[in-house]
Amino acid sequence: MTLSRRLRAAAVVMTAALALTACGDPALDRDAYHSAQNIDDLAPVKPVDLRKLIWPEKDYLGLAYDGTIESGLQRRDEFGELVGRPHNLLKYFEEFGGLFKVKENKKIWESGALPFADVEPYEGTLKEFAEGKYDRDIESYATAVKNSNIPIAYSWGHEMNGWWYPWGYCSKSGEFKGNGTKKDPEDIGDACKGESKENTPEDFVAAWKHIHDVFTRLGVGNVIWVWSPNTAQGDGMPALKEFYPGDEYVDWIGISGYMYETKGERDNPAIFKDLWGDIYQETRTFTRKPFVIAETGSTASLRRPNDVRRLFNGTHKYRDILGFVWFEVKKVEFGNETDFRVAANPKAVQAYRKFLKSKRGQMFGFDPKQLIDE
Amino acid sequence: MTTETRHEVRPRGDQTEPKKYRSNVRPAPYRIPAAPPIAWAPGNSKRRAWLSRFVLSGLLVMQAILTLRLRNSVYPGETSILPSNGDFHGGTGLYPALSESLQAGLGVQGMRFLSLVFMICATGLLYSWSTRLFNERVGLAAAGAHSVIAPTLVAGALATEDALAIFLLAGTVWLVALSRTGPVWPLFAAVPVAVLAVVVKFGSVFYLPFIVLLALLVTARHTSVGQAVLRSSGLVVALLVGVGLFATGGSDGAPAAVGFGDLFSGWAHWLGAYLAVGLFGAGFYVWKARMGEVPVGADPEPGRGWRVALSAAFLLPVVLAPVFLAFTTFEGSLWRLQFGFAGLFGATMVGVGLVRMIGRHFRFPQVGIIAAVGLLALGMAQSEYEYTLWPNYDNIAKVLDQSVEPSKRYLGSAPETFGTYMEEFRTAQWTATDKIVTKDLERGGLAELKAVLRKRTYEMIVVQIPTVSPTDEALLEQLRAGTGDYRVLTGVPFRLGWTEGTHQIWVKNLRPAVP
Repeated sequence: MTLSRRLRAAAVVMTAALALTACGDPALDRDAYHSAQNIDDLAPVKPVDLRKLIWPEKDYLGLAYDGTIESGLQRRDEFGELVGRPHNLLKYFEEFGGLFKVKENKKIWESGALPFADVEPYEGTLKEFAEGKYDRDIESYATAVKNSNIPIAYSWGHEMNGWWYPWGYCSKSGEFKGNGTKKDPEDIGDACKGESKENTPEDFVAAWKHIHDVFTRLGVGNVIWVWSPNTAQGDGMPALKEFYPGDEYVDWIGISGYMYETKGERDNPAIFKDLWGDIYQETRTFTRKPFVIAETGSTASLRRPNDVRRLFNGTHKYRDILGFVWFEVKKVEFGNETDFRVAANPKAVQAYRKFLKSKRGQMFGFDPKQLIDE
Repeated sequence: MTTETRHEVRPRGDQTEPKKYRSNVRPAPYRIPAAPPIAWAPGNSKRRAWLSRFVLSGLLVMQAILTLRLRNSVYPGETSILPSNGDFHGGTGLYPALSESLQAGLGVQGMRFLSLVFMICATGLLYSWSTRLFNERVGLAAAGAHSVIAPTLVAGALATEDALAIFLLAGTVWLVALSRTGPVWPLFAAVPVAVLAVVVKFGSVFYLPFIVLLALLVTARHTSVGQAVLRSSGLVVALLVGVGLFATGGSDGAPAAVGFGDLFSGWAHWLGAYLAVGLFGAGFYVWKARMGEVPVGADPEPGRGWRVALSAAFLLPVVLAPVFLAFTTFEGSLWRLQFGFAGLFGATMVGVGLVRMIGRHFRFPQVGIIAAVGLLALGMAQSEYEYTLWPNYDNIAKVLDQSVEPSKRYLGSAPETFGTYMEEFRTAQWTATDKIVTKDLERGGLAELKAVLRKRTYEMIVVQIPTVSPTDEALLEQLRAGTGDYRVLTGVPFRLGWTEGTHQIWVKNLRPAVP
């Protein structure tokens, strides 16, 4: 009796165990099942092909604004009316980690401009990016960019060759000037201050490549990759080449540099060469990728109209400089006011308008949407 | 204190009480008629037969719906069996020839539909023989269990030889069960059907011994053992012919490379719960022969040894299925649907198990419902997963239809796969990725590949990810960070189980307008 009972119990247990063997089946992975997206029978979408935008015949006429994209769009329209031509490259700044703003970017694109996202990784270190700590954020951003199916220019971690951003260059040598003497602690910059981290060019390249790889893995092809160093390559910094991820990872060299006030100066005929010449020469030693002046502006009071003229002429002269982005912003930092705007200087507005009306000026500005659809 | 219960029953008017019986005990004023042992007819009735056929039709409709919800592009194994496409080792040339001639008219979808018809017929035959060997309730439970498990659904949704072979085996078992009431002809009629099953698929031969055992058991119930052996001799011949066929053709072409570990885990995942219900049924059946509420059936109860043997004939194929699979040749990477053969045999005992769980007079319907729902849920999830383990080319075809231009040349991993689904596919303008490399990758092949990219012959390159060949893997690496001649245009996703795969499209970088 007890034996038969035991046998029966054993049989029941064995049967139950057998019934549970299906549990290891990947087909029964509930989480995977629920996280899978419905991708059967997708609507046929013609993927946007932005190749013509990478090196167009005409030059880009760009503006950069702080604040929201909406306000930028409005200010772009106003500025366009002021100078007599709509601008076709609109740059905005945002902190890394946010979602890609599909609606706003589509608005930019529909209004006849290429959206240019300047993404600033204030949180996290370069090494963490390279190691994949922020992959989820990158993936959701990249997927949204892909689904929007409009072209965008994308710059991550701009001015990496300076010391003023947390992602900028920072190492022991960053504490020294080019001549070997120690820098004033005030000048060491945000990248190193108060932290034990070290940002090397290799770290930047690894982070950039990693982000690019995530985009590529997800098949995001509607992005123009803009690698954006600053003209102010400081003393004791590694060579610019060391920050460069490689031609397979970059579409544009987007350099930022500003034309600052020199008291009493009315014109500087060499300003274009002085500002961009060195970095242009240096970059050309390692890549043939086209240039875009990704951020510029003038703080000069007397010289500003001439700065505008010289910027236009210089950009026009070099076929491999695809255009410029004017930082049309009055910046207030720590009580100091720095006004880069053309609009703040009526003579500069006049110069701007005059150039756009000239024969050379016809080479600036085009509708990127039209160019693609041609 | 005493209590006295008095029943004041007034005597009927026509009955006068004899004075001599006058006492406290009075006869009951009613009569209890002699009760029959059961209150309903235990035998078959037309009404019952039609009612269960009606329920069966519902089950078959459900099987059709569950099968038709599986949708995907053509599986490579469905086309590679065609004589014009390759060599088929799973059976003789019969099914490929049949398939080729029918596909011309019906297309692959038509052949898939034919497979569904075969599988539905197999379920119907299963119902029929289970009803004959046990009763309608077992027949319905068996048909229900068989109609929802993953191998049945997947085999019914693929244009491969499996569905036809399963149908032929079902026909053989059905004929054997027909001989239950005495006729001899079904046992001999089953012989050519059994041979045909092996002709269609060599792997069927593994299941013939169990059919022979079944024939012996069924026949021995109403004749002598000697007669049973004699009457089953035809099937023994069929088995020998089957073995001969297997020996000549079945050992050609190595069985698909599935490791023993995978075989056993696949078996446990796909048939574990099913076998558990079957074992439960077999255990109870061996313990007690009586099925259902009927206290005495028309037949005397079979002995315990017979019951053990019958349970073995139906369940051993399920237990041994992974071993059989190790020696079966099948096409492509989908091998779990081969469990459909074992599933067919096991179904009868699973039906017994479900009926026994519910108990007499439907005492524990909830237990049976739990088991049935469990089998249904498993079958639905597993079949859907299995049926999406190869790419669906609809999405990529739609995108390419919009992007491909007649005058340009294109490169793609197996372009004919998605090409089949494109509105206009010009074979001449497409080159397969494995055609651009003639040497081993490490011995010059990589250089060839790089040269092709640098030459920029192809306007667009389509690579399937996960990659399917080392060439594709090397190509993808070069595209990503190699020569820099191409840039990614987009990725078009397809389902791969519960994950995603992609067809990535790369386009040629435009030549820079050099200053």
